[in-house]
Amino acid sequence: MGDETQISAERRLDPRWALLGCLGFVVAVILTPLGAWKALGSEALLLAFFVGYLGVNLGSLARRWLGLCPLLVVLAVLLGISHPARAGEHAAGFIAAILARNGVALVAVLALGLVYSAVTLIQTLRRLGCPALVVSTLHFMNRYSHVLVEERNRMLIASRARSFGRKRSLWARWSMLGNLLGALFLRAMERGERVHTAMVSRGWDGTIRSLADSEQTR
Amino acid sequence: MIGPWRKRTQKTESQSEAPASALDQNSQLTASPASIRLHDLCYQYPDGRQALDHLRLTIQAGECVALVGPNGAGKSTLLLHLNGILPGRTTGGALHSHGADDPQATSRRNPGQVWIEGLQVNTANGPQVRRMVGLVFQDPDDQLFSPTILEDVAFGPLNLGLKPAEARTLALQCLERVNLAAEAHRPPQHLSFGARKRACLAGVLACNPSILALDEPTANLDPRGRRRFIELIRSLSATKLIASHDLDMVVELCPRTILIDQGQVIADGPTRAILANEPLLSAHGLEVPLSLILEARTSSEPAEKPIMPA
Repeated sequence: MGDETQISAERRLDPRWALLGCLGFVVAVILTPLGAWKALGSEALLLAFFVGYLGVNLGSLARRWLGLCPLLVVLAVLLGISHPARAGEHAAGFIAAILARNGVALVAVLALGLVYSAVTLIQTLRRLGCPALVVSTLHFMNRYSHVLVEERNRMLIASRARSFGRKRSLWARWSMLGNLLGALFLRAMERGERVHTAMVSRGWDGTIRSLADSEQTR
Repeated sequence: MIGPWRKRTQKTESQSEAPASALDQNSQLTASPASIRLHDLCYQYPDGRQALDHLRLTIQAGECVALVGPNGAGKSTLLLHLNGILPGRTTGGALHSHGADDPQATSRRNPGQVWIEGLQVNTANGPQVRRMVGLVFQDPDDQLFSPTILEDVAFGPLNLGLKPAEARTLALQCLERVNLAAEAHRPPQHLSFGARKRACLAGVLACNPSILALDEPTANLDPRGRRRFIELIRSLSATKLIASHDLDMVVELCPRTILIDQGQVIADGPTRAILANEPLLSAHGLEVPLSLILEARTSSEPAEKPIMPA
């Protein structure tokens, strides 16, 4: 997926409609009664049409979906066992229904994320009337998630470079991960201070202003 | 260049409470206020370490001055004081503010003071001072926080009160100036390090400052990026204060150098005189730049005879 896919998708469907459509679709899928397989199948077909229409990269979609599948399974099992609506129904069928429903909703969200960039989607939220403060926070999260991932990668490489291929126990690995996350958190805090300083030095007074809108939100 | 918004309603240098002796020391100030003047500036880090220790210096308008010194000498801290980001303090605790006067900060401020073009820097006139001083940070990721380069360069002008359409035009002009107009709509993380540095400079130029404070402008740049950045800095007419370890760049750009160590001015004078003084430099963790070494060698050695073909 590159810029070209995104531009072509944007030409075919305005990101506002795509975002609203996706939200509506997810709500519809979640409201579909468990076990209503025909309704769920129709929704899946509709989704498949849009996935094809927008030119979603199926390989990337499958990879991301499979990557999140373990989480879906855990949630489906936890919900399936304890759900009050089960009422004597076989747990496996109930869990499968939850899994199918959530799986379809997840495909919709992932497809949206694949055809539109994070920046486009966040800007679309603003165009849809989302408060500027929320939009700015999302922009910051998106911008600095890349910086943090780079820092994490550098720290992992530095750690591996000094591990000399030695196998570590599970406890030692968890301990190392904890240290790494702690260091990353402290670096993120320091980065936050420096970013704030940079903002203040260019006249920021606590008010979020953007080229996209003339409104000012405090 | 001075924007129309710059009203000199605040206390100016000649009216301030600076000790008379300090003004006497800077007789040049009598005609027109210095671009930058620091008098007895002190600053302690929150851990109690003294970063700036009664630091005094004066920089006239249009000068290009290098600030050199070992790591931890207080160079970056000094730059942050120029636009009131770090008010002087004798005790710990962050004193960031968005320009509103902070009585606590005022009470903790030490006698050391900073003047920018005659305007005393304090929390009350912070916003005015920040319009005059453009600060370029060492790490471009600290400065480029907006979703696109264009948005980031327009951040300053929008805060200065320009309308979005005007800010966009100005941002595009500044990006053109640093040869990044084609990248205007790209996210910062998709640009090379050198391009991000130039975008930072564009963001500061868009605020139209009369003083530029650059923190390690050539750090981590490849030779081509470094050369491009040096030429860009050279082309700017503002008063420049450049904190750097790149002493070859200092020789090339700055006629005057200030050496600081442990928060104090150790030497202040012509760049070549200071940077050729090996005992002085090695006493403060620096080395004579290669360009000066080579220059000295070529002037002392007899010119090599050209090798003629047989």
